[in-house]
Amino acid sequence: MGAGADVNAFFGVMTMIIAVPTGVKIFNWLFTLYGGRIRFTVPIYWALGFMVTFVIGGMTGVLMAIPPADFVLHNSLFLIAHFHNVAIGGVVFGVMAGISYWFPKAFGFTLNERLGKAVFWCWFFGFYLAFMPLYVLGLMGATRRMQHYSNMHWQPLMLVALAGAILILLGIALTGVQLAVSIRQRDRNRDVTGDPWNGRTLEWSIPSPPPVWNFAHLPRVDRPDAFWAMKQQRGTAQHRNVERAYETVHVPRNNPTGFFLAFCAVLLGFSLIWRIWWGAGLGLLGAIVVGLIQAWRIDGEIEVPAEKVAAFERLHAPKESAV
Amino acid sequence: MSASEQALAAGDAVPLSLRGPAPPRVVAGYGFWLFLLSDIVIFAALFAAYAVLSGETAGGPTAAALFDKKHVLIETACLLASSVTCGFGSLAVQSGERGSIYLWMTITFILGVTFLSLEVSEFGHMLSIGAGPSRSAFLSAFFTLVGTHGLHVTIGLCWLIVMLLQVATLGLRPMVTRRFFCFGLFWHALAFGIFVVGLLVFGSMIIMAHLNHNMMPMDRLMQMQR
Repeated sequence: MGAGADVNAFFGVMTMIIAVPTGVKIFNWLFTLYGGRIRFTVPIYWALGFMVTFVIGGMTGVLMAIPPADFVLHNSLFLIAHFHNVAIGGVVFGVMAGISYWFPKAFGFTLNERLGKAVFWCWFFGFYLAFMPLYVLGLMGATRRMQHYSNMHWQPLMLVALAGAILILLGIALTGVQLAVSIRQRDRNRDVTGDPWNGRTLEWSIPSPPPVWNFAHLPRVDRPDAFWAMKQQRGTAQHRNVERAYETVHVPRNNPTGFFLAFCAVLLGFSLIWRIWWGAGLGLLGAIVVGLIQAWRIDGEIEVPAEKVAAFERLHAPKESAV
Repeated sequence: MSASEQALAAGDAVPLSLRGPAPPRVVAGYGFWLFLLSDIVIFAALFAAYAVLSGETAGGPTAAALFDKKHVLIETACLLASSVTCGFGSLAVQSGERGSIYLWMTITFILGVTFLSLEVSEFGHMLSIGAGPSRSAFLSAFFTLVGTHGLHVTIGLCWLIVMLLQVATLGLRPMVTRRFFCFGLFWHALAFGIFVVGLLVFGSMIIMAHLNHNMMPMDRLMQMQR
């Protein structure tokens, strides 16, 4: 918009080209699923929903690689539908897959599956109800951020989109319910093995939640899916691990700098956008002070004694019966 | 030398997975290079915007009318010279001679301040004759590009003061020399950056000003091809 033909041609070509690496990624994910034994748990719901939705969003993006079409669709609800299609399908769904997959690793108990699936279906159908009508509305001439509209032909599809938005809201509310219920039932859903999904990657070989030193011994990796191989030859590799000598571990000391720095940076950014100069000054000054305090910290590391590491690892040693 | 570095130097057959984590110097250097690359991406975008918009003067002053070649030459020379003195300062950090660290880094600081004050006075002059960033798309792009670089130099100068205070209070412990190493990378990148700004701004000006000399008229070119 407003740029010359050369710039438009450049962006058009770039928009088309970006589909190539993205398509390669989609095939990566499909071939990862291919030949596997898929269990329909919450993370895979999100992952599959992500792939389908992201592909649709990507395809509507390529439509806008044609500069004349882009000219017409600029600022229309078609564009809004497209980028929500990739942002919700590609980012929100992916993030939700990651959260539900790694939650037990971080907190030591799994999330409620039933409510997790309910959240997914609310988001999935809510998304399609809310944003598919926007494609049509965009082609009918509706633009974004309207204070009001007088074209009654848009009304039915707008109502469908509203229903979708309400469904998404329900999904968001259910996420909170899922978290509360999961916390209440945490004793029933404890992840005692550290490997609730029977995973293939190394983070599942350590207890949940992991100790501050993560791995007491660096795991030996000589092939893809090293943890899977370890589990196949259980009783040999794992046992040798447990009987090895432990060393004192150096780990970074807990440090609040990141929290305070982020707080000051948010204050600075927010104030600059809204031109609140005293807030901007305060945020900048705070960030500088926090940075200087961090620069003069010399006690950045603590030692975990070998006995403590050994005691923890013996307590969490894999048992023959487990897995 | 840490165990992992020794293993690397010996080139023996310890598998990568058993060598342990890289030493902090390598980790910090790697992280800082990533930061510099992200900065280079920002400047590449600003360069591209300047290249696209450099002709869009909206009836306002053009680059040829505004920029004094001598002025910019002195600015560039200041920053390139400070890059050299910063290099000597880094050598002094490595050999642990505090006296030469203070000497070379103070010279670096003075050269940086000279560059910055020249730039500020030039910006002030441009604003006073009504050639501010709101005058035309060309000037918006110019002020964004050169102003972002100037902001980097300002932050670099503050960083340098902090580093000299750190040497004075904490001594040359590994943490401090590591930070000096990162500062050196930052400063060299800035000097290189202004060099590229100069080449781009003046290169495009000179090429456009001598277009008739540089590009032969079409009819004569066609005759030669026959």
